[in-house]
Amino acid sequence: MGRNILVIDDAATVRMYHRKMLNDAGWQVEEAINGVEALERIASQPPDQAFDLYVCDINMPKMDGYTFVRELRRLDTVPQAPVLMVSTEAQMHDASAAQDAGANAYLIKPARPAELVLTAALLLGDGQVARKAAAAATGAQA
Amino acid sequence: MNTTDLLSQFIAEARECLEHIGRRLLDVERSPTDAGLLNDLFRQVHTLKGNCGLFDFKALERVVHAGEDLLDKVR
Repeated sequence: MGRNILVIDDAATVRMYHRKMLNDAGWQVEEAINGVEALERIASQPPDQAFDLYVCDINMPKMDGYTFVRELRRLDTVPQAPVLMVSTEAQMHDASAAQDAGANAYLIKPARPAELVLTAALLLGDGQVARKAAAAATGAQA
Repeated sequence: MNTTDLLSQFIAEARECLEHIGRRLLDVERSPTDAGLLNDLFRQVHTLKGNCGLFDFKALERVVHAGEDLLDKVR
């Protein structure tokens, strides 16, 4: 079954970078430019194409990543999916704040391809991709 | 990963950011106490810095980072 990921970031270059890595791992990717647009996309998504993972920036106009996750976690009309926060904010309190808001994992930008794909695979429960990404990260054979 | 189209995207967005930053600097000069303008200026510099990080453009990233730190102090 295909996995559907929503990448949320106001920077078009970052969205393209994440899309490429996640596409290369064999997953479908859609994009939103901030939390408001992401919530609109989630609400209008057909139930059989609900998102399986959100890869979300923190510092965005209109609605930041923390607010997006809090709003997402309040929704009882859509299936809940894990949130992977990816941000340039490298302080410990940023990761804690992301976790408190309801995020499941946190990576510092720029996330290296194997690191992003491995974390996404673990959150998606995609063991095959996780093994490949772990092997790529460590230089071992999958 | 084929980075040619990613690099083209980076250059296009960097141009947009720099144009936006130039306009906002003039706006901030005219209205120095407008927090909304300062925040918008900071966000554009922050975006440019994040994009530089994707390519290991260390020199450019350092310059933009210094600008971001300065704006953060002004904020």
